[in-house]
Amino acid sequence: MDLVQIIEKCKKGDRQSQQILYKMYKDKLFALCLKYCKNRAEAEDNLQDSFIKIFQNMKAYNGKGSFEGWMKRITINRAIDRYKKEPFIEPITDQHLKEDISIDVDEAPVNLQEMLALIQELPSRYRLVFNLYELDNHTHIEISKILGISVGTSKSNLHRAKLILKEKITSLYIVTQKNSIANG
Amino acid sequence: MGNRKDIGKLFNERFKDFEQAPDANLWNNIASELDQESDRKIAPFWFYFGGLVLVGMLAGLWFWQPWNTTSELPSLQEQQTIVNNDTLENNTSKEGTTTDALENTNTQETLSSNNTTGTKTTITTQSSITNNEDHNTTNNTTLINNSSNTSDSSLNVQNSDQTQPTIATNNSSSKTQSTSNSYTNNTSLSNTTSQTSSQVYTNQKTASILEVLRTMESATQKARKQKELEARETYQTKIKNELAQAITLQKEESKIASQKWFDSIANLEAIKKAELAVKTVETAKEEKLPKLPKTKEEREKDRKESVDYKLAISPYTSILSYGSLTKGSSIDDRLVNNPRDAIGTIGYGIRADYKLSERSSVRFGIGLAPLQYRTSDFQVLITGDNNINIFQLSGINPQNLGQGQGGGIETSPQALSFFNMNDVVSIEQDISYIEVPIDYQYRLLNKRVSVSFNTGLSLFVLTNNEVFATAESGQSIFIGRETSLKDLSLAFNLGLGTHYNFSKKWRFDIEPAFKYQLNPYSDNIGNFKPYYFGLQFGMSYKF
Repeated sequence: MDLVQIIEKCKKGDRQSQQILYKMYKDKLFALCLKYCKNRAEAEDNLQDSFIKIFQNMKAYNGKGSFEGWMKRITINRAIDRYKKEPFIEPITDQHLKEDISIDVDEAPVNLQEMLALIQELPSRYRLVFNLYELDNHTHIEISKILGISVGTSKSNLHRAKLILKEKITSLYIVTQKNSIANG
Repeated sequence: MGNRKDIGKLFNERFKDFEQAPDANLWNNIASELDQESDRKIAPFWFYFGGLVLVGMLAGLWFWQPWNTTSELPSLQEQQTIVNNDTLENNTSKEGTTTDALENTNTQETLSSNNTTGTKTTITTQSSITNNEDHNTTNNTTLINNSSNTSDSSLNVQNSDQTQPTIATNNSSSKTQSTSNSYTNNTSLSNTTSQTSSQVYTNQKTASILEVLRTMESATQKARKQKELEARETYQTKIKNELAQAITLQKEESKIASQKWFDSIANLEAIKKAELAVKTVETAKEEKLPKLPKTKEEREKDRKESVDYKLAISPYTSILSYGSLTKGSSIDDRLVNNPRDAIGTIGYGIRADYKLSERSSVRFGIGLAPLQYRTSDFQVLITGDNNINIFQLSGINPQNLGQGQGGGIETSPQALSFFNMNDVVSIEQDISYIEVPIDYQYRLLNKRVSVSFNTGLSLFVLTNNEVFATAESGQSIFIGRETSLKDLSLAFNLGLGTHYNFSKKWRFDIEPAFKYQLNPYSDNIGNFKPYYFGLQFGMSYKF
């Protein structure tokens, strides 16, 4: 059964096809949820909400455009709805924007889960902007429309997110180095 | 120090193909929630209806309050106790004597006491022995009436003592009446006796009768009382049992009703929640979610999907224009200086486009290419023996000729007439080919709007070859066929296509194509190098 058939059956509410679709995309969408949410539990909640929304609105999908992209948009929208009510963070000054946000690649954690944890620890607004811009390749104009913020705020939030990440990565690296020295 | 990299890019690279499995039970949660959603959608009416019925039942139960039977029980017992007092049995009830009953008894005793002192004329004692509750009630009423009679100086006495016969005596008439169901107590009797002693004394007979009657009645009364007591006890036991059963039943019913009520409340809450959830979903639908613009990746995917196909079938139509790369004429080399031009025609065909790779395809097809070419300003000359110079052109195999009288070929009268009237004509060649092209297509731009370069060969099969002479008036006459046109020939194709993939399945094509005929003539009379140019319009269905 190809994807088109599965989608058609899902539109008719066929539970088996829904399960097949779930199995096909759960890992990808859960990864997306993990990046956009604060922790695993919230990511699972978000994934559950998203799939329910996907199945409920399946008839709205008219076959135009990528189906995976459509599902991803719903998933991201759910995450945004979840966190966009959190406090608005004012733009930082241009001075901050000039700070260096590059990092030595060797200092970055090797473990992907550690990196994921760093994203999840970001304040929600920063995390959303960081994900939308850096991981899902949206422009600041698009982000400003999605989150209802100005382009300047989007830029500054992104920069602040990167600064936080840089700081954490550096700290983590120093601690790791100290431990390795201590352990000989 | 290693190489430095922007944090965003670093994360982007690391999370490019990141995937992770959620909790294994998550699907169960989703499925159950979807089930709930579908259940809610299936028959909300029955939920409402069921809820309303339950509420109605509960309201009815509340109004009727059948469980209050338990509280009514003591009152029944009280009444029973009162009956017992009336029948001179203070302690026969197993439930015990209530305070009210005791008070009643005291009141009666007080009345009896008053009676002993204040009675002048009539002493009437009423006592009713009853066998059911209705009679008990009546008995109570009687008691009240007796009290009122007391205030009217008509004293009624009720004795609490049992087994005492009661005698009612009418003083005013000095006549004693005894009835089977009227009795008085000893005290009353003695009082009455003392008050009427003179009369009794004077009437010994009456006294002895009274004595006999008293004895008889006492015995009869005892037996009757005993019987009545037994009957009452039986009745009481029966009533108690029935009441106990009713209470038990009522309790059960109350319990069930309560449970149903709680269930209905729970159901109503569930229904409200469901409604709220549905409303929330609907509201959420109504609320415009911020539509995320498509990412680069998605745009790329869309593009790929729109240009993705294995096979496309393309019917097309084309505007054709026939011409020569050189100045020569295919009819006669003497006509090279005559003005020549193409007459636009319409061709059509169908083509299959098989995709070889993302950017290249091979195409096969079949089509009809009708071509027309005109050589103008031909000066007609008719010689004395009716020979017309147009039939002497080297490239034309003359037709429309008749048999001459001398056995030779001469112009038909029809042709002669035509050329006599028109001395300057245009020579029009009508040529049609069935074309079988095989092309290679390379897409220079492979997006929703794509541009392709096409090249290949076409096999031409000649299907029509006619030459006409056409006058300025528009009249024309068939004069022959080109002599050296081959039935089969090849052409070299070059084309530049523009395609608009407006859906996943459909594509619109515009393709200017140039086709140079490689070997159309067996004998190239006038150095004529034919080609045709076609502007093709097609609609492709992609598989």
